[in-house]
Amino acid sequence: MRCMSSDPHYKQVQTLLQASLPEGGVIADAAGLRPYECDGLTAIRQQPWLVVLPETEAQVAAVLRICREHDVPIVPRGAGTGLSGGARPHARGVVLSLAKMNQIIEVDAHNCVARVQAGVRNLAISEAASAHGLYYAPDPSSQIACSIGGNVAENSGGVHCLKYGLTVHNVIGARVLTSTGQCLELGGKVYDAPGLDLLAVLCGSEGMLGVITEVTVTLLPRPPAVAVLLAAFGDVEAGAAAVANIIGQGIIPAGMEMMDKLAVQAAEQFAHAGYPLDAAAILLIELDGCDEEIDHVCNTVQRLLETAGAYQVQVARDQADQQRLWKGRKSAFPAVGRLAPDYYCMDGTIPRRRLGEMLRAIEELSREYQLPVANVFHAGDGNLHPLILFDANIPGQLENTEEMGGKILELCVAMGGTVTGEHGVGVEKLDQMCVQFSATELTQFHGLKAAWDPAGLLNPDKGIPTLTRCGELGGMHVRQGQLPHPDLERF
Amino acid sequence: MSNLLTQAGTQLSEQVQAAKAAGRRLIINGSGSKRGWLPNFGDANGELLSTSEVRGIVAYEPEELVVTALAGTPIRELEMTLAQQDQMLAFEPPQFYAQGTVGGMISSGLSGPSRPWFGSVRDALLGISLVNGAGECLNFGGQVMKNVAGYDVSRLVAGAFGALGVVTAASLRVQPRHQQQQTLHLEMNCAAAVRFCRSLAQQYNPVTGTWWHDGVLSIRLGGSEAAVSASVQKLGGQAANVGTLWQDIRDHKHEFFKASLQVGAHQPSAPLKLCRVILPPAAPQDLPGVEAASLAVEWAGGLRWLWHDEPQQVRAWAESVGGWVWVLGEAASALGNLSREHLALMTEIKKAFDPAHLFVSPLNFAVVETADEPAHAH
Repeated sequence: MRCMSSDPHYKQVQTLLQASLPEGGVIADAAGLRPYECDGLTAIRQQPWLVVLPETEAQVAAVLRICREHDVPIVPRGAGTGLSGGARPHARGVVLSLAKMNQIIEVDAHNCVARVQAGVRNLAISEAASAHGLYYAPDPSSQIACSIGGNVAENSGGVHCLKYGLTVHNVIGARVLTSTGQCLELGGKVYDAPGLDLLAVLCGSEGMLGVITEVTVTLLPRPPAVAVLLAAFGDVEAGAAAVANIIGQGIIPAGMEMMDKLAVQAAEQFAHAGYPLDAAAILLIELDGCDEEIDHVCNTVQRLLETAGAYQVQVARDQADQQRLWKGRKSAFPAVGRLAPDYYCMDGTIPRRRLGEMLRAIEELSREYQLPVANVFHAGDGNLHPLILFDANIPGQLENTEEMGGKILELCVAMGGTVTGEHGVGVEKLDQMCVQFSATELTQFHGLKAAWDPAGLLNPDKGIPTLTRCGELGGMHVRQGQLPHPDLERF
Repeated sequence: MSNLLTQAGTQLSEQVQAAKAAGRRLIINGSGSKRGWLPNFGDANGELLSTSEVRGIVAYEPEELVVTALAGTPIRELEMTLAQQDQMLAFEPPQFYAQGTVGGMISSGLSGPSRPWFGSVRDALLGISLVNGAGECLNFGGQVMKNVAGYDVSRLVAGAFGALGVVTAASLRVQPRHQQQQTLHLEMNCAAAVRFCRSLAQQYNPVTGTWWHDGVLSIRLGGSEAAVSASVQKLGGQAANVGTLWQDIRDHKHEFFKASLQVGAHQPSAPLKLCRVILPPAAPQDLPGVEAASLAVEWAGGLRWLWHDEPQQVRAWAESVGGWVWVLGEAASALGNLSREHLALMTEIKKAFDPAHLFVSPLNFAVVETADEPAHAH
């Protein structure tokens, strides 16, 4: 970085940025930059040239204009909780943190919406809306810390998205700045917006299309009645069958989570949630609705669980019991983290009916690579989080883990699924993108990006791999479980 | 099964490539049922690219809540298949003149009375197969509910009226049908109806549709038997056997949508136009000079239908409260109040998918640069 600080070009840009931002709005010293070296994917680190902390939309626009004029890459950053390295800095670039734009502009209960700045924490929205009996439904596990701007950029999910949808389903408006610093207002407090649905494509665009400064989210009334059921199974496939039966009966639970034996044992040791330690898998099901219907639904689901082979079903009707049952699941990641020095979290999605097949394949890979795997699974929507346990201090283990993880993701694609359900591609899954998409599809993605950001300065080298990268990998394209075509594009 | 998909893609891709080679432009057409909404096809030069022969359900997994259908599949056929498994398209796609295809449903992005509670077409869309302006077959999204790999092109294509390419097939999230459905009638004026709907929206209840017209608010409830009957008790009003009311609203077969009946009731200074007014749902209905008979309110206040002889007035009012107006039959109005900057970006996106401007879409973002139409436009 020393050479950059003495380079007159960079020096000039830094001066311009400092002039556009309030005192302390530009971080340039090594100690100050350190917290921005990585996001939640801590294995991948890079010190940025500068970090900027604008406090207003006009300041964000000024930063974008200066960077555009001087050809400096920009990496937008929310709370830095992302799990795919989407906010990994660029060595010659600026990290644009939205953390200081943290004002809740308005809770409009009549229209059931809230207008908030991008840096507002996910949970803070529900807290602000609670006075009206309303809440913001998407609840990624990092909701205490993660920001709504980051949620939009990643199209974050959460445990309740089977019933209540992802971020894209719960956001109806946004203000976004393009790489030229121009502000576009998308949607509003209205259900449909005219023209192309720019807001939909902005959701999950990982900071590569524009910088989100403000978001309008929809708020829902809290369901008056909630029940949480825990079912223990002697084998995983019986649990998967139970999930299919419940949905087959026309019941859409608010949440439906599955954990395998290793995950259950780790979570129980950590959280003392009362999970049965002898279970091969447990299902955690949250049902919600009105007071008059909850008993009936609860009984139906209990019966379906038992029919599918659950040997134990606990029903929690009061809040304390419900929180205890959820606590195990919610602490599953840190709990598994205690089993080994490091763990690697995967995020593939598969059609649910192929769960058994997938878990057997993971077991085989686990044996082959000699790396234990704990599985946590959003059972309702097929989103799988295998956690591979390893020790980064043992030479070669990180590489082995990444290789094994890559194979799991490729299996997800082969089974008709996707390499990422909710964590995003970032820098982590670029190689697997070559497996999921053809060269023409990737080219189309790059075309869409260029329409928004012709200079390519917004979060470069993320999300969509270059064709050269895919060619070097010699990646093969497997779609819908078919064998690879012999006539596939290779580079 | 996926053979069907490949064949459909190849068939449409060949047609697109042939048109491209010959310098002809294409007008994508399903059943033509929504043409009255955006009728500027008439003066456009291009030949019809029909998707109606590319039809059939490619895959349906009721327990995964996902169906994949080819573009030309009639919506009605798809809904019948889903109904056999007690499932449905929750966004209630309109079927004007009892017609409509899956491709048209996606391209138009129109949703029915359940829109505020169950989302729109794009919300249910999980993946698409698309042939772009280069004649390339592309797949985006997939058959799973959670998928953040790559840009969400599927949802960008929803409502794009064919501007970005021709949809070959789509995968959609489906929902279980409601065990019980009941409609209540409550007599009240429009202002009271909007307020009542907004108070309903702030409480947990099984509302799946609202319709106010001519002094009566109809509220549709759907869900478990227990939830629906509890809600009927709570809301009061009169439980009514409404027959096909909600389908008639969805498909514009309801009397309100018949222009001839409207003309009889007024002495308009100009022909009445049907305005689709999208507003923040709680916005008061305070446009002066509108008679109750010329007004209908859906989506718990978020959608107002207005017969008016001066759409400009309606537009000014709607925009002043944060909404927009689509005057049916006036293609330009489908772009609402978009700024030049919006249109310029949309034009660039269109170019990224269809650089030669092969697809004639009734959504013409390039209003700012119509002068430089492509040379082979005719």
